[in-house]
Amino acid sequence: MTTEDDQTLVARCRNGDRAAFGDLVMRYQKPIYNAALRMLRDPEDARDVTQTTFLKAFARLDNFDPRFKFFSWLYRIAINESINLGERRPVFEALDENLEEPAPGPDQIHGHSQLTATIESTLQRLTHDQRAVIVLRHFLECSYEDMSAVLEIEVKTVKSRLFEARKQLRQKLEHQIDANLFTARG
Amino acid sequence: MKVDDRIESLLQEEMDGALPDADRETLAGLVASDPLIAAERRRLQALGAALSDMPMMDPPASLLDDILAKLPTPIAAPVTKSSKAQRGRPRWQAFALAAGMSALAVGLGLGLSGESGLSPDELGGTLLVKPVSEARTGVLLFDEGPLTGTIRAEETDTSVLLQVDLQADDAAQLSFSTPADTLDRRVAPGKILETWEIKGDLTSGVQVTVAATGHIGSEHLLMPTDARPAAER
Repeated sequence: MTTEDDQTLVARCRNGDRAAFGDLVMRYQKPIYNAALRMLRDPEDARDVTQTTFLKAFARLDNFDPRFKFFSWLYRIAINESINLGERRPVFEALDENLEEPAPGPDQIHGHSQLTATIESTLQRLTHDQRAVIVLRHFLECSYEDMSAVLEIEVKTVKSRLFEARKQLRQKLEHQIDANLFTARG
Repeated sequence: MKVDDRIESLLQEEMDGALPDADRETLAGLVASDPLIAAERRRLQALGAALSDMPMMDPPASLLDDILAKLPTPIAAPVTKSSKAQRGRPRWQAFALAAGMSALAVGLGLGLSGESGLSPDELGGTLLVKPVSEARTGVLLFDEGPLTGTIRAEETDTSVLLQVDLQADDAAQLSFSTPADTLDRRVAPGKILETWEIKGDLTSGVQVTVAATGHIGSEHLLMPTDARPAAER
């Protein structure tokens, strides 16, 4: 079985082939769903964002410039949708914005899932822009250049935004990271 | 003590696999000679690993089907002319005469605007008239040409619902506009059973422009049933 590249599938879509669009959805629904989940931390919102992303992509397919990467274009829609939705909903997380992360207990030291939950919670305390670069880099494995294309900002801005986002994360997750390091080094 | 931002930046580039060769040796030397930088590197890499190791969740199983079911219409080959370029009677007639192509004979909706100057006869269509009622509705009938069927319009509080029941023999683009909104839909050959929505009302009317590959374009104004029908003018 051969796997058609994105550009071929997009070209087929433009010629009226709905099955080709189905292939693109199958290919990208998981990364987009997970990106939205990390951006918004709500499965229903992530589902909505994923659905809206593909429907908008379908509607705007004629505007897509095939000289660029399809996934960058798709991720841009997804990130923008996530940010827009995030800005519209109430910000409950802000209530404990100034609280320090608690020092790790025994469960946290040994619990990877606890670390995951803490990271998810901490991600929500970043700005939308900061969260977007973390999501693109670490969950969608985008290069600086890809992120630049997705966010329509210069590479140097990508780097500085990522730098600041990680700095924030580092500060908020200091205890957990140190505990994890301690555990890993045994 | 904190590591200098410049060194921190190099550490991040290293973690991202984007450290320039020219900086690689410099950073290695700094890490080897300064325990603080070495510790910072470990922490940063631990953070990166923790982020990258977070599990990827499977999207809901029904998501793919839901998306495909909600695609607005079958997509089609690009239409050659924009709807705006085809607006206006003179242009419409010029196309009809000059192109020498098969005429796009389409029906006309209720209350065809007096300003448009087009009549059902000119368009080869049929005007449907419903009794005046409180429900503000209208209908466009397409009985010849690349599109056949109806577009029924029903006004809601803030928008107009367009119930589309068309058979397309060829790829086409339908453009709708009101003073408040625009809506473009491409259709591929085949049956189109869709409900679309556009902001606006039938009092102002919904401008409907049809452009089809290999055909001339046409435009119509969809008005409510209580507007004076063109056939009676």
